[in-house]
Amino acid sequence: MKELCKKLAAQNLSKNRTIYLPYMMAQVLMVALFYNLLFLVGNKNILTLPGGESVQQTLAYGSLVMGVFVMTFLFYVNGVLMKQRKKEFGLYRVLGMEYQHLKKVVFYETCIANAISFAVGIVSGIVFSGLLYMILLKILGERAALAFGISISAIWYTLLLFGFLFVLVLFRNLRQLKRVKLREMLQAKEQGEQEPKTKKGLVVFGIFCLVIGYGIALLVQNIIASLFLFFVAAVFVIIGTYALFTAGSIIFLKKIKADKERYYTPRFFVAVSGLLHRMKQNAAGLAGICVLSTMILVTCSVSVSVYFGQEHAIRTMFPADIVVTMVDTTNPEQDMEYIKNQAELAAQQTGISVRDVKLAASDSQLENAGSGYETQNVQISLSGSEKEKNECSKELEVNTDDGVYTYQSAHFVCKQSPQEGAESIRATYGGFLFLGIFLGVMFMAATVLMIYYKQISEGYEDRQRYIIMKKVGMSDEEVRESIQTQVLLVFFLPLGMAAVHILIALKNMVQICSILSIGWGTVILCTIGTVLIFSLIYMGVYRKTAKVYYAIVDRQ
Amino acid sequence: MEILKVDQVKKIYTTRFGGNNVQALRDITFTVESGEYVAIMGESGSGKTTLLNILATLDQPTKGKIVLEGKDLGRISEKKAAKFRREQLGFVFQEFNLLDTLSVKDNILLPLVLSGYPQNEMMARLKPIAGRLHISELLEKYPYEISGGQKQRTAVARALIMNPKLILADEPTGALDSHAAMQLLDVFSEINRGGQTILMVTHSTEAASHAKRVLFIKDGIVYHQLYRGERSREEMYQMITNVLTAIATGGER
Repeated sequence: MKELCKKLAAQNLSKNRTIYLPYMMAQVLMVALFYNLLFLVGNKNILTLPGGESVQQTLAYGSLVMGVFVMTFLFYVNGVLMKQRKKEFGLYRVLGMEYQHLKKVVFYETCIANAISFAVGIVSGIVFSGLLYMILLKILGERAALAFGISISAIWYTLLLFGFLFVLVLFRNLRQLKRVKLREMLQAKEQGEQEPKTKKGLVVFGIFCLVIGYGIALLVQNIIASLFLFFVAAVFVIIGTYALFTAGSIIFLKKIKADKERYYTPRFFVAVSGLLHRMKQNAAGLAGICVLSTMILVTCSVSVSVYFGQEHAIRTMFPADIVVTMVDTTNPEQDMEYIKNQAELAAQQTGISVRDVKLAASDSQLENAGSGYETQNVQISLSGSEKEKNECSKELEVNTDDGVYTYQSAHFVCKQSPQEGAESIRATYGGFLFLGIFLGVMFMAATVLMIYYKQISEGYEDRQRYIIMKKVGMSDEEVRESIQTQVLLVFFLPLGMAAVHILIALKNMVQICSILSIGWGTVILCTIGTVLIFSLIYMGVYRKTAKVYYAIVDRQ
Repeated sequence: MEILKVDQVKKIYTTRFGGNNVQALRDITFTVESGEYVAIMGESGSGKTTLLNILATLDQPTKGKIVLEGKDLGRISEKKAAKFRREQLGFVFQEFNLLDTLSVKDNILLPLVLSGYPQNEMMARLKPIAGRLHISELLEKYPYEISGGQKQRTAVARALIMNPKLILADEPTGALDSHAAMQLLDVFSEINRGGQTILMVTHSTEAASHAKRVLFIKDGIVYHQLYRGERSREEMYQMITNVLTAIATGGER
């Protein structure tokens, strides 16, 4: 019996590969990504880089977010999968399998599926870790060297997370198997779903949540508070989105239905009635796609903005190529003149030129030394490459041999070139981009998976309906048109809503980025670019999965 | 007046991996006059479903011609075939084939909607038909809320609403209990008396005995036919039984 159960489990997986393969592929991707994130968090080499510490902190925070997301998402998708198979389990029961046997089959299935995804995920994770490491170094501005290594602790933590997920999934699957009555199992998909009720209260609640969320996002003035409130607003917007999709879509469809002139036309008749009946289970999926899309857009826009805005940020924080600080000077103009001469000398030696020299209010570096002296800065801008500027900075002599300069009136002068600071900022911001892309890829995988399952499950539900309609006298072309109306409405609703969300969030994003000294122009441009690219990918995914849908509906 | 002409129709299925050819219809020839009520009988595998699919333009004959009201069905494109099916033919299936997501009323109106009829015309057609089939009270209900007999009457209403030239019924009583089956056959007789041409495929003797003419198909050819003429339904039933016995025991024609 044990052998039979094992065999049956393996067979079930391969028979249900249209629904299991994408799930396992997503799990493989997430295992690989998670392993890599942990690998980088624990990588000591990164620590030695300038700014490496802050990069690792960013990545560690990212791995936390990712862990929570991966758990909830895969758990949810597994539930969808099991629902699809209810009828199959019912059939096994009818054929004489006891609950005990079925339990074993499901146990083996879950084991096999999870073991395979985990193994493949870890292996591909290890293979890709070298490449990812290289990309990270490249983004951080270091010369890339392929570092191939395996982190045992990263494997352990990944195993811990996915092992926990496995236990949860297994427990839920078995419980679901036990709870469902045989008759329900067999009828699961054939029960005519009743036309859903209009829930006005839920719509009001949804609008209320959205207004609060949007209000917080738009009204917050305090920049530091906006960082925290952004998440509060996000929670409200997510709840509001779910409520609106569930209840609002039904009201919207019923409105079309009530308009008899419009409803009784070939374009709307079949599509609207079909949508209305399916909206109950559809709405959650649609809201999920909308929320995920928004997450992708926010994450990618911000990290791309940070990356592209970093030079501007460095300029703002370090306005000059060399800063010479003068302490307790009584004649700043004269000292500056001297320093300018010195700088020109140094520049000449390096083969570049001095662009500008100006006197500026002090920056806090020396005051912090606690001397109580008044300080003033001379900012020197050079024209030339980073490397030349660096050299010139080394050439510039402003100090006497003992380190204390007593020329003219100033007591003390020291020079500082912002190159190192810039390095560290580039590293931090590069880390942001890296994490952003990382999370973006993961959210994207989740979105694709959700869209795919929506298409498949709907394809199977619609199949019978379209067969009937063809018999009654609908041409292939009319069938396609009707499907298109339905699918377009369903697919571009979440995208449109996500675009509205991002539009509102833009203000917060600009505020948060301004903490990092990134200009609003950059943020807006990067967001527009991200939205465009995302829409293209979304459409590509839609096209690909729509093909799967047609294939199911049209199959003879 | 002749409404349907089936002329030497032959249908050969080729199995997917080549090799075996299965001859579903060998040589079928018959005509149906306007206002007739014809039943086609035959055992499973005799080719009656194939014949019905070809008549419904869901399938093409390998050889031969089918002419409905002077129109050659073999020469219509897929798109036109759908329109033709919708406007000239009415279908009643064994498993009702109602859409669960549409109310009874909307199920009946489906062909009209697909053909783009105006609202008021739809309602004008709906009322008398629903009354005749005794489903006026059910119009706002959904298919999963009504009985099998009521579902089949809804399907008949849907078949009738386009005023088709010909009603094609495929085992219409197959999924009904005897009481509901009787009711449905009475409905068929009644609409036939109103001048509607009906072609019904069945293997129920009971159902066939309601028809005015019965064709027997065996091994892909029309094996025999019976006219009811002035006979009573009971006499017709007896005659059909005799023919069926003869076919089953391999007796002479």
